[in-house]
Amino acid sequence: MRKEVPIAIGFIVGILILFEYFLKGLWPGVAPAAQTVQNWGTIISAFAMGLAAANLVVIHSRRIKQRHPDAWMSFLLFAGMVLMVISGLSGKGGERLYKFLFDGLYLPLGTAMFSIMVFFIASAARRAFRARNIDGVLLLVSGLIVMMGNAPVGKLISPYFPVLTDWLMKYPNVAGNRAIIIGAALGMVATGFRVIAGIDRSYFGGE
Amino acid sequence: MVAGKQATFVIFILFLALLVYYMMRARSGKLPFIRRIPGLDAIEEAVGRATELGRPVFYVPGRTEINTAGAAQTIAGLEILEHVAKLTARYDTDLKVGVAAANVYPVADAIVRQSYLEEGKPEKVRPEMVQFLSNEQFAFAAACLSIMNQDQSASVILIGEFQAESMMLAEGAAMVGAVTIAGTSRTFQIPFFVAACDYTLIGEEMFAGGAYLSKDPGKTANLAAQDIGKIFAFLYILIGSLLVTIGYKWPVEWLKR
Repeated sequence: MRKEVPIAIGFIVGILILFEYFLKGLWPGVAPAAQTVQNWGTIISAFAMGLAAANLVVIHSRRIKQRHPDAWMSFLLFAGMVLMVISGLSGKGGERLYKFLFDGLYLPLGTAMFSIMVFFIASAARRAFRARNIDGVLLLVSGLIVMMGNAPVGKLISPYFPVLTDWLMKYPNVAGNRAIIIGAALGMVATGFRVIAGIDRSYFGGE
Repeated sequence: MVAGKQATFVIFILFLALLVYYMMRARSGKLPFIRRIPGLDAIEEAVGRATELGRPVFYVPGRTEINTAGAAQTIAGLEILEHVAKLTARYDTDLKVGVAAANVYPVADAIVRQSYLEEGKPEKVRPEMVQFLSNEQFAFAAACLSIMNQDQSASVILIGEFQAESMMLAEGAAMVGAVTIAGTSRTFQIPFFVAACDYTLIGEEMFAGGAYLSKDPGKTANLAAQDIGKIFAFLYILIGSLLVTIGYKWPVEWLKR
């Protein structure tokens, strides 16, 4: 029963959503039914958030208890969690604190993380752009052409750089992208079928 | 039927018929030929390396929730996690799984527990093995980088749906000297993985992972159906392009129906 019930629920829900996507005109009741099922999914996900928060609390409590060298980070995490919850739930009174935490700390930290990505890209490019084999040579040459085509100086060096860049981006790049998308779409349908048919059971804890 | 989805529906039904046909063939003992996928073969090597070095394997099953459009990628990542968890249990290697989506956490946790149970080592499971880190993109990336650095992970496996954080995770793994295996079907992130990782599963290769690694007849039949589907798509594009070039518009018009 532990396996059969989830498989049956998965099958019914999967068929309902597919029916709503393709054939909703045939049965007017299908759209509200599909919406209800999706709402249930959202509610279940909210419960999962509780489980995930409990996991955070357990792990970081253990770190503090074991006097881990980075236990102070766990303290910061708890402080952040508590402050955000209190300021978020205390209505008008906590609005200023919430705004300060969100606009003054959370957003700048996220932006700072995003901005350092350029260094990761440069570091990866240094390793990737090595002409070790024919693939590497192709990557290096096309990368250089696209870079020169997009940089203002490229046009000054040769008017062919923007033209070649345009050709590379419009034809070989789009062809490769579409091939990957078609393959991935078939893979997604096959994975969805395996889940709906109950062949793939990994999503409820193994075979 | 919903307008604009008729052709998709026909293709969908034909593909399902193909899947069922190959599955029945596989059940009767006629297993399809499966081509080698180096990225999936490398998983055992990556776990072996972690075992030899006595350092953990770090696994990320994407950053997408299980009830969104990217769910298929997350499920593919979780299928491969099952195989990785069995290997780490078998070889007594430490495993850490970083989760960004709250509703993926209980599933990943159940998969790891079940895998260790099946390998006869349920006592080796610790709460730290599967960690919910954050559902915020860069907070999650920072937490993953921190785990890789603190643990000096020997192998990092990133399979699922990733966004801008893909580059940080892949390059962060390379910086600690980890063997990196990554897979996604998001075309914007594939170049980052190709540039920064040792092995990359491109597009449908990650969906093949569960079938390829489990050798389950029902699942391997999927791979044959996918390959036939790709051949049909290729022929349709080729013949359709020729027909459109000489003035017949119906291959394009039919797809719009």
